[in-house]
Amino acid sequence: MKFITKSQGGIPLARKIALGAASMGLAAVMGSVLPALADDPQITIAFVSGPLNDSFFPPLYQGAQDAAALLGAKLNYIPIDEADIEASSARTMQAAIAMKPDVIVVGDFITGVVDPLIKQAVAAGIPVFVNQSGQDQWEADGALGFIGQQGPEVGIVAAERLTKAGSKNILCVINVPGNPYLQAICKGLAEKAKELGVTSANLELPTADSTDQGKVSRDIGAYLQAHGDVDGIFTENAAVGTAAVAAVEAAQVADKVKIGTMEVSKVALQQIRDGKLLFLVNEQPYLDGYYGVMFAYNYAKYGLAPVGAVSTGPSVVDKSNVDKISAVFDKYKNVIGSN
Amino acid sequence: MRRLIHRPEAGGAISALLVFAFFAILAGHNGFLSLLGTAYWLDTASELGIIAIPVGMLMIGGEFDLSVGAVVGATSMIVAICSGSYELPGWLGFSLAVVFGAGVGLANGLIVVKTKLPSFIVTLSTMLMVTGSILGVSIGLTGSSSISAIPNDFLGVLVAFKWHEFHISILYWVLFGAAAIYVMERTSFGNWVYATGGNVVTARLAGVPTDRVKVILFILSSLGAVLVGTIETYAFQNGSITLGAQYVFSGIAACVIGGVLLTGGYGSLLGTAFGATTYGIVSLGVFFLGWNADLTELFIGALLLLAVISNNRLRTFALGR
Repeated sequence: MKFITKSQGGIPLARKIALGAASMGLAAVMGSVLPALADDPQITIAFVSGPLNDSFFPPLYQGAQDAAALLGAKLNYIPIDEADIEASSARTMQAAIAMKPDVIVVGDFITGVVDPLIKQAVAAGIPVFVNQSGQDQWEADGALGFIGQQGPEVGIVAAERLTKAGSKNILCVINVPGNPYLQAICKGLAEKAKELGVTSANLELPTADSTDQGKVSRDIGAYLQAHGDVDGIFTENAAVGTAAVAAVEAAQVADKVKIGTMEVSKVALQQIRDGKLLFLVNEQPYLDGYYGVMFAYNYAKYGLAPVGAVSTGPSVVDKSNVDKISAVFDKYKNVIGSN
Repeated sequence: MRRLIHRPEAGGAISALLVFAFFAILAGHNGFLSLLGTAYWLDTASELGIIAIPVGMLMIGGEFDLSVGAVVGATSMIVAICSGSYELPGWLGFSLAVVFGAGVGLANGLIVVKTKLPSFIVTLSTMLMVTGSILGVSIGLTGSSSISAIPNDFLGVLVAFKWHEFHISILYWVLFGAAAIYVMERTSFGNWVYATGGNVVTARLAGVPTDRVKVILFILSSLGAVLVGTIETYAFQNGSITLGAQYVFSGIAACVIGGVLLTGGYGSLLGTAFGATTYGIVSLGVFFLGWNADLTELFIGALLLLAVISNNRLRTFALGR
């Protein structure tokens, strides 16, 4: 039960002895016992990730909170402002370092901005875990682990599913222009589509439109009018997916155009049941938050961490498994999705 | 003809006609002129147009309101929390949103007239406060910032009705627009608004209750946002706190394209309607062009700039005669 101090945090041996799955199970048992010990200092975790006004993040936040409560850790969730994502990514990470927590978990969305700050935190003796985005850089930055979903893999899954359903011309809709994570997904889709012998194109929605479902739906509808050959659409969040469904219905091409989306929502689950959505890719954000906190805690406290990246997605929801997901969605708030 | 061109809305009308002709020629064969294409830009113009009516009145009265977008998002959450999370009747949620919106407008107005601070900074602050407080309330009550809002009473029909893709918001735009034009052109309140925006000191000396005028205008501005927030929420049966964020810019843009001066005292609501139409046509038309979609925002920006320049030239030309 020795507390691993920050200066010991970087010992490679600690990582070598870490046995991913086994340590998690063990920690869950110990975690429930340990907070009772009064002389054990509480572990402070700074968690830098997306804002709660983006419907993707409430489940992630819920997972982080649940794990922190279970472990008796102090969680400090610092939300990035998506409207000012570059500057805000820097400010939030700087704030996290300044708080001198025992460990930092960070969503590395804007890698050019966040990577130097991860290195800075590591240099200051604060261990860092990268969450959700940043799968290509985390090791080089000196972070101790990655929990999340590999962007290109999502695109690959989407291309495979749509092609299998008969799509020959796939449109990949990017709802946050310039977001490298979302672009990596469409790039993965484009590469896989090419390999499978079908064409694809990207549609970047204007920044001003991305929060207005009605306008997004009309934008996609107008694009479909001008590009009559599109027969498959992939969107990168639930609201845009719903807008795409509305667009193909308004244009009366619903039988021709297949649609897949990222992110779970109540409406999207119903649309899968109704056959309006072909599939959705679930990143399981609850697990991003839950494991993010759990791995960080175990490392700060015992020097234990899973080896290599831990994937929380892409997990696919379609007609075959929608009922199970829906049941959990309705029973537990903010675990599968937030709306 | 001379009289027509002297009207403040003339520039806005020419802008709207020019961009319409532009897209009719270049994108007509891609469906821009179809029934669906027409519905698309009219729906967009009508939602923006409803926002822009009271925002235009306020700008003519010499003030800005940057909080309208936040009020749209707040309304969306209030309506969705009531009808989606608590399964209360829709009209109750709408009534609460109206009270909330009127409260925000009243606060904006009172702070501006009491402190004499620029409304730009006052409403920027209230914009952030509105979003932050509603986010706190919605996370506290429901754990989420995006909630399904299923219409459960007559309100659903009143705000979400559509014929083909022509949304009922077009009807409200015409009705409220006509009423507001009547008020501005034919009533003493309309004269007070122009006088307040033209020169507030002179207006006050002439007996215009300038403070009351401004407070009323701020309240109307928030109420326009409440209506649009409700319409957009029910159209997609989804409440979202980020809904309406774009109106901070596009609401003011529609007024300026339509000939309202940023300095106040000049402009017309018919012009504002043309401004909203121009914005609607441009922001949807680009998708009908079939050009490189990555450059969409570039085209929107460039076309709006051209529209304002031609409008401005026309006004200078008309006034110069």
